Amino acid sequence: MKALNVAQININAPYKVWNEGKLYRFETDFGIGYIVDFEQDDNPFYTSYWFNLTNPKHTKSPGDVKIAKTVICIIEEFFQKNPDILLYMCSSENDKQAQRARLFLRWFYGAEQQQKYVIIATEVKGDTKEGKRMADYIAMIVPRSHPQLDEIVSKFNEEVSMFQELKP
Amino acid sequence: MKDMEALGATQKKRTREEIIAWFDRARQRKMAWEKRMQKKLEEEALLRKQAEESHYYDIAL
Repeated sequence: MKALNVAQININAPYKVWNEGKLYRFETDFGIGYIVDFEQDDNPFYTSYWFNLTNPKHTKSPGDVKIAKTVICIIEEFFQKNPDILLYMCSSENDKQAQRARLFLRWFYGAEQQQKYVIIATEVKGDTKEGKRMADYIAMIVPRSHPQLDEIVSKFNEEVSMFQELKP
Repeated sequence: MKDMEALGATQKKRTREEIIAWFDRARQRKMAWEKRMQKKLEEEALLRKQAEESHYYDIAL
């Protein structure tokens, strides 16, 4: 993955972003620290990255729109440098993955991002072969300019459709 | 030839089991990453506390 240009992010980001190696960090007006990371996925078809975002202290910051704007600036810079695919799996901690998915999507749907990206989010659920229940929210963001856009969207929909009903 | 191989790779379909394993790996990696970040922040907080309590911090001020 090509490193992001923090100076570029900071042109529009309301919170100052800095990097520590491959981690991107910012702190809110309320002293809450956020860390962002991109990790290459191991799917055999396309170059894609998992987007990781955490507020390690799990402090709530309701109504702080600057967080979303800052995260969007980071993601925009990611796509400037890496015109690939971004995947996001919501943390299932406290069983709040649905809530986190809604928040993440609101950030994206609320901005002009829809003109630039195709965003698909879905719940995948079912049982693993060990009989363990899984329930995850997965989102995929692909730039509309991606040369394999249709194929990527079709494959993603086809794969996740296997998990939208409880099947043995 | 390489293009043909790439095309073949993208046309291949993953089985349900392969996709479940993919979700599992992604979930495990994400959880491990969050734990690492939490630990990193705790270490930073500890270092800050040690610095605040140290003699050298007073001098630096």
